[in-house]
Formats: sequence, structure tokens, C-alpha cells
Amino acid sequence: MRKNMINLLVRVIVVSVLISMVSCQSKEQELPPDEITVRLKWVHQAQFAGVYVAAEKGFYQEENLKVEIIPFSFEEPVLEDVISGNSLFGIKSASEIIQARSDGLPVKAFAVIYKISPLCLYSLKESGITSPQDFVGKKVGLKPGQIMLSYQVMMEKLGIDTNDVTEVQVKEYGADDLINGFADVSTGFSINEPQLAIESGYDVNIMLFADYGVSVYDDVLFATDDTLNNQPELVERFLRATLEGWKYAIQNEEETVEIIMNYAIDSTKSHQTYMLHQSIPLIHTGESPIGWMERDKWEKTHEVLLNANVIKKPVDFDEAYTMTFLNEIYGLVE
Amino acid sequence: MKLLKGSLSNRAISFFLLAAIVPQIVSGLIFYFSGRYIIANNIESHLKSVSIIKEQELLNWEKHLGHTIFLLTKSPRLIQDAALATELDPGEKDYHVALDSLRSIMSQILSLGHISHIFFLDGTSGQVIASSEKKLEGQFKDSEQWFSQGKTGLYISDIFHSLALERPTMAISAPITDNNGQFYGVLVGFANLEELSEIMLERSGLGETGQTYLVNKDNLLITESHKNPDFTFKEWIFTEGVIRALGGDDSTGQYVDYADDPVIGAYRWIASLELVIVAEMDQAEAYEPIRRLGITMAIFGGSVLLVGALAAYGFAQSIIRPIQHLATGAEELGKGNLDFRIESNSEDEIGQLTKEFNRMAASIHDKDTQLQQRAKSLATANKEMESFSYSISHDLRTPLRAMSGFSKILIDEYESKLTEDAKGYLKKIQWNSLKMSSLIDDLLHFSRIGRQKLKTQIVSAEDIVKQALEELEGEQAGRKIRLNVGKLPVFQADPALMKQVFVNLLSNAFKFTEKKKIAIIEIGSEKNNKETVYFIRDNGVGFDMRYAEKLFGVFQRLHSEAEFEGTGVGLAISQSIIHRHGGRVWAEAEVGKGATFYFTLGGKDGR
Repeated sequence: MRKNMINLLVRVIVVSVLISMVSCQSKEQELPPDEITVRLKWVHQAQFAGVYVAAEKGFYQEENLKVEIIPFSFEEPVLEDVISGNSLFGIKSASEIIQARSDGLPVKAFAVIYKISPLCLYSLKESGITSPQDFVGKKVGLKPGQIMLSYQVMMEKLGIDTNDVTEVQVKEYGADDLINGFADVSTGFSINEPQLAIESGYDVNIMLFADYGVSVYDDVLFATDDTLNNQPELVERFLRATLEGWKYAIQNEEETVEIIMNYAIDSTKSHQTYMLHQSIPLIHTGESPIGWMERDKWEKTHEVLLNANVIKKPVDFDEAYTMTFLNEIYGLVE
Repeated sequence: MKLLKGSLSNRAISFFLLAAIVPQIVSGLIFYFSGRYIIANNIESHLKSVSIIKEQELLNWEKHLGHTIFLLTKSPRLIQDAALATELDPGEKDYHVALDSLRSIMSQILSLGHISHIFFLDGTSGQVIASSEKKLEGQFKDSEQWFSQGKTGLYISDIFHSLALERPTMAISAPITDNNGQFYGVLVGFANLEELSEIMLERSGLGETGQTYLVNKDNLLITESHKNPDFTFKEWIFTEGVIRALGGDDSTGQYVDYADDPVIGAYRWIASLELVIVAEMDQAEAYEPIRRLGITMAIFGGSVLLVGALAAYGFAQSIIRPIQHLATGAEELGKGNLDFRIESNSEDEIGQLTKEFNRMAASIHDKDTQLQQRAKSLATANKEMESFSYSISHDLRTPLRAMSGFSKILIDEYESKLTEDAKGYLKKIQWNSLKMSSLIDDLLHFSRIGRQKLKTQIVSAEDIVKQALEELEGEQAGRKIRLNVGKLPVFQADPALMKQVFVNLLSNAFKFTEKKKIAIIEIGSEKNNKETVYFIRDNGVGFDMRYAEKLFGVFQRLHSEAEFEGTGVGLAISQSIIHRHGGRVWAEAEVGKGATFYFTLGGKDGR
């Protein structure tokens, strides 16, 4: 009698395990993953670590997403790509989003990555130039675009006459101009260019524009108004997984560099390690969760653009970003 | 249940174990769980106290920081220097004097240790005018909360990561205003969070695994944790304790911590710091004492059970052995070995039983001896009876023969010489001799019947009745007799002897119905309860029931010789035969109406 009962019990257990396995399988197979594309604002590098980690560690998969990560290309600019609907999400700077809105383009940021912009000026330590006040009588290497913009805003705020400073055009990327003395101060991203000088054996002084009156948001995650309104669930899933990706990167820098190297094939491990390490304090500031946005920063960003005449008229910058998805994700926890 | 049957040993052990195990287990469980409950309560309240104490330390630390900065902003020297620094042009000499003065004040404050960086911000632009860290000078902090808030009063910020310090810190800011209310700028100090960690890392009274730590409102771990020193500012804690505290529920509980260890924890929300303080201890460590005690108890209990079981077994054995002896003894006695005695030394109940058994065996032995002797004497008596009866019959008959012989001679040969009276007397003498002879015969017959061996077999009563009736044909001749022979079963009896019974009873029936015109004689059987009662009923003269007892006595007659002939030994013989069969015989009658003779054969009726 007992034997029969044990037999029966075993059979019941086996059957229920099989059923649950099958149902698990079928559940996953029920809905195929959503295939989406995210456009990066530059080439593959640690700057976008969160996205790579989310893809490689299965965070996107957990949200039933299949994400294609496409870097910057001149042929297909990020903004246009997202607006046209080719790609669902993109990464651009906050200034560029406000500019786009000023141009009537229906894009909106739903999370900020770099709460402190890595835009910086840097000099070799031996030059003794530690702050913009020291620029007087020196050669400052500038690049057009955001950098030029920030420089102008900064100098005005500091009250330094730009005529007292020699402005030179420097190469797009590299520390050579500094090293060979073409410029005394160069510009770039604190997470990037200075490392080249360091690699060549030089100590550097880094001056963030953010410390000198140009305190703006940089990289943000954005999408079209249409996407945000009509596919909110998709946006939330993508955001949640990407934020988890950044959290993981913060906790596991070494492993994350390995993951990045799968994408940044033309770079070196030491460069990506430096970039990741320098990025983290700009992203994870501590007084608010990763990705969280404050209105006054957006206001400031808008103000800078307005003052620099990049946008001719004030824009409703509140339309440039939305807190909806961050609230969804973090609201529950708090 | 097998427990309740089985041998005495097993039962004793089973019952003991049951009686011992159940209370042990129950009390053990009660003890264990109440022990755990007590420990949990103690630990929880201890952890709660620890967290309250630490909260106090933290608030004191915060207050101290606030005071330091605040007092500093009230220092006349500082105010003066601040005024100069903001109003004067950087080109002027006094400007730099003021700056140096500010810097020296700042380095003095730094030497106290609570503050890592301290700097003075221009009240309008938010630019760093003077700083303990030269690099900061010239930077703008106007977008920082601690600047905008610090303009109006003492402000303490959330914990954030400082690029300048390259580590997490907390900003304390306060406005610098003079007595006239003139506002010059904001003094900002960056707190040394190591002290915060020190307060939290201090874990006396928390055992090996106890720890306290702080988590901010975004679940970020702020202070160092013992379990993973690398986690600070890199780990987000979503344990039950933290979630509850963030939800406003300050309490204690048992849950799993961020390292997946089950812990006992106390958690509270410190509003002024906007931090959750958690105090936890691993459950393994907390419950260790009760666990060890539980094991000790289990071992002890187990050995008690073992010893008890052995004792129960031993006790059972002490009872079993004598009982087994008794069983053997009874078996031996049953087999006929009456000399068997059981040895017993004990004075207990079993010992008593054994003594009684021995006494009983002795008594049986004596009785048996007596019986044997009696049997011997009975056999001897029987033998004597045999020779006695034989000699009687022989010796008694001889004179009788002489009497009847000589009377006959007298009648035959001296007929002419005898008077009629004399002939009459001689005839009487003859008749009486004959009578005497038949009496002797009957007596002999009766005594023989009593000693005859019973040869029983299954016979049909009907057959026997038929045989008896055949034998009595003579008596039935010339008479009107209605014979009703009812259903008669088969019985186990000596057929010859039973025939004599039926012959006797039927013969009586015929005899005592002589006077009736039509004799109605019924022979049948009735079943009552357990036995078959056979009866022979007649409608003859009957008898007075008062003399029923005498009916079956030897030579007992209830009617005179003149009325009915017979020696009166027939019924005695029948009774003897019926008694030999283990049955009973009795009669019921009414004078003039008839008589019914009943008998049973004592359960051996062959059913």
C-alpha cells in the first residue's frame, strides 16, 4: 500500500515539474521580444557602458527586449534617425535636445545619464595652468560646437576678456597639440582626451566647464513624443534595463570594461578603464538616483543656450524632458 | 496496532518510549521555540537600542558640524574678512590679506578633523573666493543647493559624491552676514564622512556578525558594511528592513539581508538626515545558544530514552521469565508430569503466583495419587463384588433349589399323604422360591449393568424402539394398543443397553395400561434448548407424584404385587443405564390418567 502511494506521489511530482517547465517555456515563447534600436551619440566606448552591460548581462532580455546598439555615423545622424522612426531611442546631449525642440522637432529626454557634463579644458601639469583665470596670455585650443559655446559662456561668466587669450583650432581628437606645445590648454571630454596625455606619460590638470559656470546636463536618453505617448511600456522597460546596466557597471568596473571591449574594438583596455572610472562620478552623484532629472538644471541648460544665442528665442524647456518614466521606476521604491 | 499486541518486552518498551518520547518532544519543541522567541525579542530590543543610540550619535555629529560652521559664520574676524574679500578688488593688497586670513581660519577648522574642505562663496555669483583647497578657488558653485539654501540659513545637504574630494561627502553651509544684516556670502564645509562610518562601524555588543549601516532615501548604502567593504556608495539595498523603514515603518523583524544571510534587524528612518539606520545580527549567531542547548538536550534526552528503554526491557524480562516458567509448568502438568515444580526466589506477585502454582501442582499430585488409590480399591472392590455376586447367586440359589426341589418332591411323591392345606402351603413355598430366584436374578442383573462397559455408537433410536417392540410382542398380544411412534433422532449410545431401557419403559407402559380398554402409548422426542428429551407416555393408572422420588429405587414398587407383577428393579436398571450415558431420567404422572417417563442422554445424543 505504501509502495503504491510513494509511486503515485513520485509520478505526480514528475508530471507537475514537467508541466511547469513546459508552461514556463511556453510563457517565454508566448510573446516574442520587441526588437528595438538605440543610437549612440558617438563611437562605441565606455561612455555608453550602461547600454552594453544591459545587452550583455541580459537585462534587456529580462524585459523581453532585443536591442541593437548602433554608434554615431555621419551618414545617419542620431536625431534624424530617431525622428524618422528608424531607431526608437537615442543618446544626445541635453543642449541638443533643447535645440531640437527649438527647431520644432518632437523629441524629449526621459532620463539623464551625465548629470555633470564631462566637457572640459585640460592642460599639462607642468604648465601650471589650473584654472581659466590662468588662460590669460596663453593658447587655448578649441573645437567648434558645444565646446566653443561653453568656452564663451564660461569666459563671460568669469569676466575674462577673451581677447587676452589666444584661441587656436585643435584637432578633433588627441593630446598631441598639448604635447607638442601647439596649445597650452586643450579641450575635450574629461573622460576621454586627457587620458591620451596621461598614457603618454604626462600629468594633467582638468578643468570641468561644469565647475566654471556651465553647469548643464550632458548625455540624455531620448525618444520622439510619439514613442513616449504611444509606447510607454516599451520606454519604461528599456529605461529600467539601461539603468540596471549602469548600476551593474558601477559595481563591477573591471567586468564592464571587458564587456565594452567587445564593442570598442579599436580602443585599448586602459583607455576604456579610465573612461569608465572617470564617468561614474558624473553619472552616480548620490543625492538622487541614476537618471533622475532636476528642473533647475534643465533651466540652466536652456539659459546657457539662450545667452549664447544658440537658440534665438526662449523655448518651453519643460517640454524637452519628462519625469514620467523615472517616477514609474523609482516612485515605487520610494 | 502492532504496539498493543506483541510480546511483553516489546509492549513494555513501546509504551515506555511512547510515554517518554511524546512529552520529551513536546517539551523540547516548546522549550526550543520559546527559547528562540525570547532570544529574538531580546536581540530585537537590543538592536533597537543600538540603533537609537547610534541615531543619537549621528544627530550629535550632525549638530556639531552645523554648530561649527554656524559659529564660524558668527566670528567677527571671518565676517570682516568675508566683507573685504567680496567688496574689494582682487588687485588691492587688502584683498589678498583678507583672503589669506580666511584661508588660515579655514585650515584651523580643518585641523579639528570633522571637516575635510571648507570654502567661502561669493554671495552673488556663487564663486569660490577662498578655499582650504586652492584648486577650488575660482570655481562656481552657484548651481548647488547648498549655495542657494545656504544663503538664507544653516543648511545640511544630502550625502553626495564630491568630485573635488573624490569621495562621498555632506555639505554644511551657512550665510555670512554682519550685525547690520549685510550679507556677504556663504560658508561651506564638506564633512568628513569617515567619522560617520566610524560611528556605524563601532560594533561592541553586537557579537561577531552584528553590524549597523546607513542607507539613503534612494536605497544607496552610505556607510561601510562589514560584510562587504567595497559596497559603500555602490550597493543598493532592498531588504525588508530598508523598504519598511523607507515606507515609514520603524520596527524590528527577521528577514534576509543584502548578503542573503537570515538576520534579526532593527531599522529606523532618521528624518533630519534623510537616512535609514539599520542594525542587524545574523540569525545563526543569535540562535547559537539555543541551538547548542537544543543539541545538548537532544543528546541528553536520547540517552535517557535509551537507558529507559533498556530498563523497560529489563523489567519486562523480569516478569516474562517467571511467566514463561509458569507456562512451561502448566504444559508439563497438562502432559501429566505432576512432579514438575517451578523454582522461585522472589517475594513479588509473580513469586506468589509461582508458589501457588507449586502448591496447586502438589495438590493435584496428591489428588491424583488418591484417585489412583481409589481406582485401585474400586477395582479391588469391583472384583470382590464380582466374586461376591457370583458366590451370592451361587450360594443363595443352592438353598433355593433345595427348597423348591424338595417342595416339588413333596408335591409329586407325597401327594396322597398330603392334605389340601399342606399342598397349598407347599405350592406357596415353591412360588416364593421362584420369586426369590427371580429377585436374585434381577439383583445380579442390576449389579452387572452397573459395572458393564459402555459401548457407544451412533444408532437410530427408531431402530432400537422397533427392536424393543418386537421383543415385547408377547405382551401386546390380544390387546387393543394404539402405538404412536413419533420422530426419533439418531443418538450416540450403547444399543444393547438402550434397548433394555426402551424394553423396560415400554413393558411398564403395557403393564400399567392393562386395565384400560384401549391402551394409548406414545413414544417420541422433543428438543428443548440444548438437549433432546425422549418420552414414553401411557394412559394407564399413573401414580401419585408424591412418590416420584422412590420410583427409580431398587425393588421400589408403588403398586402392590397383587395389582401389577414385577420385581421393581426395571426402572432402577434403566436409570443406571441412562446415568451411565450421562443423562437424566424422570417421570410425571397423574393417578388414573397415565404416566410419562422422560429421559435425556446428556449431550451425547449424536447431534
